[in-house]
Amino acid sequence: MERLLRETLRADPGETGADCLEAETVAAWFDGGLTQDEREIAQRHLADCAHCQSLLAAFVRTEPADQPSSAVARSRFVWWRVPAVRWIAPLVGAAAAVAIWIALPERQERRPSAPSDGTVAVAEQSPPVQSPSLDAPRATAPAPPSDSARQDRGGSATDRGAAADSVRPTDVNRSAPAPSGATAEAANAEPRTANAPQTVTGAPPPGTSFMVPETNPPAVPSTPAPSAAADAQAAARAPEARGGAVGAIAGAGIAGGRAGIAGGGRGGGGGRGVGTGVGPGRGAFVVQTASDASVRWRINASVVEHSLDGGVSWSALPFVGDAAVLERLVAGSSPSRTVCWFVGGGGAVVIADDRGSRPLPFPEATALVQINATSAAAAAVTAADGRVFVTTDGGITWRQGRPQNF
Amino acid sequence: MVGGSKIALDDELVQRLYRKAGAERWSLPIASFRRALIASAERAVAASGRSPSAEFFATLHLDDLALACACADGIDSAWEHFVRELRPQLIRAADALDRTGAARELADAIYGDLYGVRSADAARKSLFDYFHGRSSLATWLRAVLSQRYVDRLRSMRKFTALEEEPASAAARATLPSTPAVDDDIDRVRHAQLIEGALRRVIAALDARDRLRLGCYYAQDMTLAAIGRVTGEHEATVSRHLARTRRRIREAVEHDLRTRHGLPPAEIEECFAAVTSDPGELNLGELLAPRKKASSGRSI
Repeated sequence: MERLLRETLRADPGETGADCLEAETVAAWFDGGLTQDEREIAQRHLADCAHCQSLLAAFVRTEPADQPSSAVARSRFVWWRVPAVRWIAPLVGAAAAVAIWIALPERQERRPSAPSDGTVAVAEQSPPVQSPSLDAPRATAPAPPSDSARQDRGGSATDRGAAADSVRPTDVNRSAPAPSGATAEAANAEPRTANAPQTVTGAPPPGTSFMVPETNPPAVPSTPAPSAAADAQAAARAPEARGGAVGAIAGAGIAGGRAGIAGGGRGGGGGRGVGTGVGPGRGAFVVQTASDASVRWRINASVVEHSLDGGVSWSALPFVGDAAVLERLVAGSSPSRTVCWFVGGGGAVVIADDRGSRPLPFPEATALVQINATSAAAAAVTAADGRVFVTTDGGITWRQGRPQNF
Repeated sequence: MVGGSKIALDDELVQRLYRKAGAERWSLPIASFRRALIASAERAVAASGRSPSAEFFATLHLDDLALACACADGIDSAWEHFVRELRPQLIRAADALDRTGAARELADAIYGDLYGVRSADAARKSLFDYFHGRSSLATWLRAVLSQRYVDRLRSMRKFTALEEEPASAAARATLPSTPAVDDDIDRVRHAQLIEGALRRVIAALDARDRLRLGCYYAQDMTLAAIGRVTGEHEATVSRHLARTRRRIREAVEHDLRTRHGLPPAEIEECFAAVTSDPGELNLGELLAPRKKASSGRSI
């Protein structure tokens, strides 16, 4: 449906008519100067008038970025500023942390340990690099969802979203310990940030959001101990993080839907295709924006998806290119609310914003296992062999070597 | 006192509003300010059919109204303030519309129209006469600029479309007038079924949903920009769009199933027909079904 609407709607300024809005009305609309009746009348007209919609679009572009319209400012109810929330939220978080702490050791004991390969994401997500322990969890996963559920991926998916938001500290902070060619930021990274997962040591460097696979993975090695026990110990040391960490996304529902899908073929083809098939079974993974815990990105069944509400609902983003590349993605980094980088096997690099996603050229068809992006233009990717490639022009050109402060 | 077709305002009210507007700093004649208040009230009456209350005047941007009045009257101190404070904003807005600077000439034209021209009876006609304080002056200027920008784009596209018409007709002429194979017949029929169903479904949507759809798919606005239009957080916009897409899909399927008796497999073929070749289907047209004659509303 997304593709149908996107390909059939055209931005046509349309014709003006007697009912078209005057500049004064448009200005009053944004400054909150219309009465309720006037606003409803204007809205009814705007709903059907492409010309006036284009006027709105042009007007919004002229707005200073730091001055949202008063209508928006008045309409936004910042629930978290309600006084009661300020003390209730920590209590709820603490209670959740205790509950998870109790459940955590049992789950850790069941998981086999995974070898330290420098990048957890690759070990779990990329078939060429998978460890034997990864096959077992995926093989036992439940059956995939029906086509209708997959088509619903752009919608609320509230049950999946709710499951996805359950806190599982052991799934947190999958970004690997920095290999030898790691970024300078990694060396100077703060151990904890407000939005970063706080259960596992080795928090991602600034600008790199952590990535959480949604399948039920084996134990993740954290720096320096590559064992499930180390993970459990790290998680145990940060109960407050488990309670409050919105970054830990288990996605049980999605995991159940994702794992077990095999050989679904590749859909999409050229142009703005969205894959209708799913490649060999791989887990979906979620990238949380470093600066805003409510903004998340994920690759779900060869579709790039975007959430602005902490994973409650997801919107599919159109992908311009061969959707097969999405199946190779294994790691991501979202330096801001409006951009997310992904990397994966075969030199796969994809950049997404809130309106779509596209592949970027990369000089080598090598396995990329980590990315640290600081903006829509600047990023450093780490290959499986430890080499680091840096771009400062949005992926148009790449240079190899240890990145400086880009 | 307000009543009848000619609005009269209490002197006390006018004095109070004059002081609130700080109009004395421009040495604005109170008679000019009164005329501006009456003009604003008359527009409110024309729009709502009801006499404006005292609260209406309280919602006006009185300081900007006084400034606009003073500029329209040619008061130098007001113009100096305008040039210093507001003209740069107009220029920045023009640059935001078009990074190449092509919109700056529109801004310059607006500035010229604001200054006004003297008519045959020596009265100055200024674009400020169209400002009635329902918004801030800066916002109004941006709206005027945006309106002229869109109007210019529309006229340029009309010109381009006329130039391209022969080519389009030629291209159409190369298509076979009748489908060569049965598959083409089905594809055309399926596309027509989808178009009809979509038209009905979209027309039945709530105005706010249609507005979001139009802004997102026809105008390519970002979620944040749509949120500024609808007064919602971008996450809310995203959720609503996703919900609307689902509803459209379900409603179209329901329409095809109940109105045309199509089985599920054929319904999928209908969707496949338009996603592989949208053809003439234009949802922008569906969202604006009425063709309206131009009335030259630019000011």
